Amino acid sequence: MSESSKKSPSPELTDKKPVGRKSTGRIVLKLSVKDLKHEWILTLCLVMAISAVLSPLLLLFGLKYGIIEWGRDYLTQDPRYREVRPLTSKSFAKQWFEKMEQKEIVDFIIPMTRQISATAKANVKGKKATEELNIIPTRENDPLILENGALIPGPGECVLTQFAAEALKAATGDVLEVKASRIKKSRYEFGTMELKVKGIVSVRASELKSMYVQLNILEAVEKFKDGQAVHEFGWKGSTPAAYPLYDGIIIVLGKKLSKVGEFNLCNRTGFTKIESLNNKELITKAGFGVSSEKSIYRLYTMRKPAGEDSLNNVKNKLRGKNASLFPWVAPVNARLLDSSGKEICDINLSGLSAASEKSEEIGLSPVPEWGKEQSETTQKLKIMLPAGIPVQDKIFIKVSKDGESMRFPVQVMQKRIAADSKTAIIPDGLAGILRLYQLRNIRFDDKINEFVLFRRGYAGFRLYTKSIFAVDELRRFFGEQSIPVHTEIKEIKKVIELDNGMTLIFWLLAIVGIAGSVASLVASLYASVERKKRELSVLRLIGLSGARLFRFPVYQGIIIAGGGFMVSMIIFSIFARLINNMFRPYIDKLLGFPMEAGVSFCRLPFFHVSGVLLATVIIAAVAAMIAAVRVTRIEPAEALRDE
Amino acid sequence: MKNDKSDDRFVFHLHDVIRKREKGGNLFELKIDSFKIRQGEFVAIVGASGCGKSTLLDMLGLALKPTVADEFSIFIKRTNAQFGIMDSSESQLADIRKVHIGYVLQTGGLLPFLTVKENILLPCSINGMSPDNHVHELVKRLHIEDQLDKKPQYLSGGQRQRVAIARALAHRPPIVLADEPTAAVDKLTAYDIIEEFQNLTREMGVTLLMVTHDTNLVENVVDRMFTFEVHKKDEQYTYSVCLEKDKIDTSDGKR
Repeated sequence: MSESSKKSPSPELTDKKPVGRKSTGRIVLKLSVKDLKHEWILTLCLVMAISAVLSPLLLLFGLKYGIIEWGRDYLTQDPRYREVRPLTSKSFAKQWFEKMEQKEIVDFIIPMTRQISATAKANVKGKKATEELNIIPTRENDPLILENGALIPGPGECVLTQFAAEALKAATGDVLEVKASRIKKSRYEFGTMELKVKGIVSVRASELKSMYVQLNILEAVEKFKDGQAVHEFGWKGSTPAAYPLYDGIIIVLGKKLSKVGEFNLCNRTGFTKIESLNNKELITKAGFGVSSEKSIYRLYTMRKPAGEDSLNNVKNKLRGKNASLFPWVAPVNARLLDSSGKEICDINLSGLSAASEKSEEIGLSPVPEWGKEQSETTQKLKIMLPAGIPVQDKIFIKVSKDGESMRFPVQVMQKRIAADSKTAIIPDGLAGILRLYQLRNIRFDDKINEFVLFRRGYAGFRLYTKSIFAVDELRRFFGEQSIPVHTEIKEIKKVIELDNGMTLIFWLLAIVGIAGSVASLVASLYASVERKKRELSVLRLIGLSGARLFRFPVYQGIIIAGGGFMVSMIIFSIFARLINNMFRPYIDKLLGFPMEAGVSFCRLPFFHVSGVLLATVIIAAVAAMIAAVRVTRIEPAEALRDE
Repeated sequence: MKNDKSDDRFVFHLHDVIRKREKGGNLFELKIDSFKIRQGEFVAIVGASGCGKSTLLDMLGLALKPTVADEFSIFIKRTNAQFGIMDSSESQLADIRKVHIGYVLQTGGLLPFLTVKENILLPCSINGMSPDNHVHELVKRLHIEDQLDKKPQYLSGGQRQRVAIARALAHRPPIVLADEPTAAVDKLTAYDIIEEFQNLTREMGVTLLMVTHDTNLVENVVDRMFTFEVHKKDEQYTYSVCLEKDKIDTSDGKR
């Protein structure tokens, strides 16, 4: 107890150690430490008293930020509850998905196709067990996969549901043979591919036998089932070629039509309006001109553009009238690119039919270089440019709509048209396809040199909101758009109620714990200062005053509280480790897959640890301070002569 | 505060000082008409309990302010400075206590968590003074060299009081206040202690004010004595007047 007994007695008293005036603070600290050491049993009792109330509180907070928070997330973030499913098949365009993706409350959305076309048979390579699996598209950030113990499959990979894996006896790393089938002329045809199993999701994700793959695989299967070819997998079939559409037809006649004749052309031909044009108007509207003696009409439609059948209708009605017909498309704005993809200029494109024996007779200008034979797409990929545009013979045309664009190669004709023309001339068939492009999704497939139609939209979607609390908002949003949806709203209500209940219980416990800790801390320190009344009075009498005097109990309070906190932290870390080790296997079993390595059942973030320490020390200091003020306020006479 | 002609100044100069205290509906009033102490005097304040002698000592020790005071000043010769207690702040008073006054309390007033040596050196450390031969000398004179590393709880009552005296004198204060310093020791030891105390203070030229209830103990060694006349007006009101006991002839303050 007497830590200075080692020093020799009197000579020490004569030591001339310079002691600065500023060191009184240090002296008070030394005195408070010496007092605590002197009464070390009582000090230990105080430290233990504080750690006794602080430790359970730390453990409670540790569990809150460990397993309780994790469990809460696990429950409230369960993708099953966050899913919003469409109840009916519709056609959702690509743009719609993009817009949905940008919504604040939407976590993840991916297109789905018609369910019926989204199945395929699968078996593990070398194993017999075969199963018909649902094919469900996925991509990065899919919570259903990520939150159920698997990783997102890349190209050539898939993720299986638990039940699918069981049925196929498949494990992660196995290679699956996937077979899509269709019947053609009462014979089965198969499209096969191999997919590597990237992972298996727990039962929580889905109780169906399904495989999750990238969207293009699903689309390939769907196309194959529709009878189409899928070149990327080497599956044969038809190609949905693009077809031309026209806004109208230019009719060149030797003489004027009667009113009846005009009316007749608008009657059940697919065109609804007719107007007479002069040569100048023709050049502006269609990019070409004819001899001025001719009568020129423009037959057109205000609503839907017309197809080849409408052209035939008009052709039939004008049979024998020696009419020249030119299918007409309103000029299309396009951009010309050179073979390296560099931009040349913007220009309008007008369609013009092939030259015929009549071209000369009606004074057609310019006369196009292309022939009538345009059944192959390559024969349509031609262009006549105004003189003055310096280009190679092979260039690209780029057309755009709604933020997307299509690019295809064209051959530049030797013959040029007037340099002042603002319009370049392309074959009428190509112009018709560009007209279609404005309405439908077309892609130029350069493997087969063909304009190919592709899907208008997707029948459905798989969507997850950011949290279960956003589900109802989204349900109402879809309601306004007349898209009936299914949500787990009833389950969500239960989960929210459970969560609220848990939170309430936690905070009740926490409040009792915190109040208890504060009370114990204040009481312990108050009592300890009260016991120090005499010492404080003596110190005051020999010249310590005000702030310097109060430092004595405040230092002691801080040391005791800090000590209590340290002991609590030791107890906390022992028990936290114990809890983590004991419960992990149990939870892993419950989940069906190992919990992420980073998750702790009982943990305290540094921020909270320091917060608790700070609060403890401040409360201790304040309690000691108040006690000290009260104790020293009484007259020293009483404090000194109480015995 | 600064002073002019020095030697004649009183260390303590009190005039018409009143301290009122109310406790449980009873009013107690201590009146001091005139109380003047010169440097180097040994003055005893005697009286039965409840007469107000401790109250007076607390006021002299600057731990308690009077209720009313026409004059209540302390003059420190060493720094040639005079302080009026009424218009000094608590921290100024604490500074005066720290530097210029030493205390010996009833049971020593030693800090139980410090050794004897640390206790004795405490006023020095608080004042930022380095201990010197003087302390060594004090320890020797008071016969406590062998106790330096003990904690006060292991000392006898007499040793404890000797340590208290050493502590009170360690930082060479001009004034020492002692409150019944021998109340807890036997008569014989008490006489020894008082004698040593008196010798030390006289050699150092220290003004010693001692409160005691035992006139016999001090009557042969003190220069002057003050006592109290207690008047009980009624159940609720008592007043006590502090007067110099003129039995000893020291009116001019010289020995």
